[in-house]
Amino acid sequence: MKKLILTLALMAASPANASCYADYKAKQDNPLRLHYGVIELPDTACTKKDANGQITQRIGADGWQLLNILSIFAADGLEERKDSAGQYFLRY
Amino acid sequence: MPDNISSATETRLSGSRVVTIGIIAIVTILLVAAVLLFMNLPDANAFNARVEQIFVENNDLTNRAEIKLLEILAQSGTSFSDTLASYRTVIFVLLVFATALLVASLVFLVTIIALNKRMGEIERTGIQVSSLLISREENTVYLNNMEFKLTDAAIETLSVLAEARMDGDLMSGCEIEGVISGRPASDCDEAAGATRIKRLRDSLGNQMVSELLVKNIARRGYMLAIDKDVIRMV
Repeated sequence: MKKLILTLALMAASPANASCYADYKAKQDNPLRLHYGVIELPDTACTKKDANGQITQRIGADGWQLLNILSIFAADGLEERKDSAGQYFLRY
Repeated sequence: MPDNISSATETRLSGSRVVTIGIIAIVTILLVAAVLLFMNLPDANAFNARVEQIFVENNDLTNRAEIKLLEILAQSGTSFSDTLASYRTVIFVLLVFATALLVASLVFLVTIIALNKRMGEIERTGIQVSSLLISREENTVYLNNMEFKLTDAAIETLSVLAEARMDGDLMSGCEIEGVISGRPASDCDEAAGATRIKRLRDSLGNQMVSELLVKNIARRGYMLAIDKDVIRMV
């Protein structure tokens, strides 16, 4: 029941055209900082190739540099990644 | 006629050329060594790059705690690279020292060689007799490669003295006269021998050198004041 509410809440919070999500790894230099994050993508960027440019641009605003994209997944994959991504869960 | 005189200036000239070439060689070698050394020292970012590679290659490394750990690893690597920078300075200072020492030792070496050469020349031209060569045919004696023309009688006297010196004997005036004239020494006059010695000294010219060369030991006789080994006869 709790899970369902959470999922509903997430769906409500996310933009209507968000149909897929990606998890990625990024870094900052001097000093080296790393993060693992989850990001939502519009319909048009649901392949790794298309997502690359999008993610680079969006996290680049804060000085992050994309290292790689681990996977593209649907909304049902969000829950298991939430804990790992921490503050970078759907941040950008 | 080939120039067989080597002067001190010449030695100094070639010496300074050797020093210049040597210093250039030393500095070049050490510069190359320094460049190679600095190029092969690990880069300050090598550690970070390594950590980043580990992060990218392992897909499981998504846990926050693990990522934090990787960041700490990278930071310790960065602080190690500061240590490397100080090593670089130390190595550079040591290289400079090595260059200075090598240059100094090269200069000293060349100086020693030049001094040795000059010592040899001083020995040869000085009063010390390092070679005595008697040529009876030409009536010539070579003292330290300096040529002296003598009269027949003087050469005869010098040869007798040289032979006696080689045997380690002393000869009185009578004996000298006896050997040269072929008569028994007891029949000869001491004064005749003394005259021969005097003529030999006179014909050698330089009173001081001949005084040093043909020594008179009181009441015992005459001898050449030189080392046995330097006498050669032609």
